[in-house]
Amino acid sequence: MEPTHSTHPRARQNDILVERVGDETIVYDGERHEAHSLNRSASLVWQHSDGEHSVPQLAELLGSELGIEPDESLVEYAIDRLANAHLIENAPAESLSRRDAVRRLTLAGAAVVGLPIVLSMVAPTEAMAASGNQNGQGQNNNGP
Amino acid sequence: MLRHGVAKTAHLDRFSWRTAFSLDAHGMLIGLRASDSVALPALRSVVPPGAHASDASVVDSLYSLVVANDEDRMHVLYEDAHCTAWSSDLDELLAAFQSRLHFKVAVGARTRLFVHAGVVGWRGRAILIPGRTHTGKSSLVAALVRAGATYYSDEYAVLDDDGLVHPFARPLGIRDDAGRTWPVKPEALGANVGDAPLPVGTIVVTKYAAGAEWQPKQLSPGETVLALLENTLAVRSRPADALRILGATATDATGLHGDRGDANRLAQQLLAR
Repeated sequence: MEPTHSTHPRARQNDILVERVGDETIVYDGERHEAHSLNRSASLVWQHSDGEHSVPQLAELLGSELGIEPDESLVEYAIDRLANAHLIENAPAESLSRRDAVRRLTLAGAAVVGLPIVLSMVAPTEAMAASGNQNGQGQNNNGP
Repeated sequence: MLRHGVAKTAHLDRFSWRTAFSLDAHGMLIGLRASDSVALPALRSVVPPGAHASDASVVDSLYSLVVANDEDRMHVLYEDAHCTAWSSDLDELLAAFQSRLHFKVAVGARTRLFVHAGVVGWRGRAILIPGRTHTGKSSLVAALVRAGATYYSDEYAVLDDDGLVHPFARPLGIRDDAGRTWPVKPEALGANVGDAPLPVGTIVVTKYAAGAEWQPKQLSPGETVLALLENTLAVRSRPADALRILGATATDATGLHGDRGDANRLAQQLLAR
């Protein structure tokens, strides 16, 4: 059976550019002309989302990298934010709501590593970049 | 004879151009020509900082200035094949010409990455203030140079492949109480003008807000890259270059974000860091 997002998420590979900046990742979506900044925990989940690792395995990997107890709710939350930014190929039709995901996060995991954060912005056109039409500091995909 | 590489400018090429020259502006070839040789100093006055003479006859962008011979006629500027500006006041037309030409170079440069930002030098490193028009960028740059920083630009941060920022020291655009913008030479503010590329030390993401106190949040390198990308003119056409150069820049710099009040006060705070 083909692995599904909920069991084996797969990071999008086509038409994107990736730049590592410290322990964060910048992803440029050439199709939508959007840029995303993934913090450390979101980066780790995205980097290991190869369609082979299951959510529990990703939780093990994340826990090992961050030095915390494995926490599947943290991975599910990251996958939801990444899918929202179109960075997961096999995203489900209905994403996990943030409220549900947050409710499932263990306090220990969230407190130690912080929430996986995906900060997004639309790349400006030439005219926008030279005008007064500024959007501010990007859009946090962790918002409601 | 100068000609455009692509645009159909034959209707203009037939004209008798009295003066013409070409430039290499950060990898972009620019042609400038005028119908009267008296306009040569005017043409030279709009040359973008960092550009140098070229012997190219086929250019990426061709500007043609038709100078009015009598007071009843308009001076007319063509960009490639199209008329883009006209005025009875040559100085007014040149101001529009300069702004348009510099923007064109900022977008089309091949050897540098242009970020819409003010830049000053301080103790061997650059302070970048990314932001678009009407965010108070020029006011803060002016305050910084009055406080002793070295002037680099109030409009564009010009970054090379190593993330070093180069001078783009055109006159500052200072806004008066009526909201009009006037060009002010940096020397008039007592400023030293930078001539050497600098590594970026601080990136200040701010805008003026009446009564605001400067209480910045330190940005992560990723957040800093996004703030720079948001002001990068060629990000859609050169995303790989933009990510690589801005990633290197943000990794070695401190990004700060917050509203500011008085520019002079913030200038003192930034230089005291």
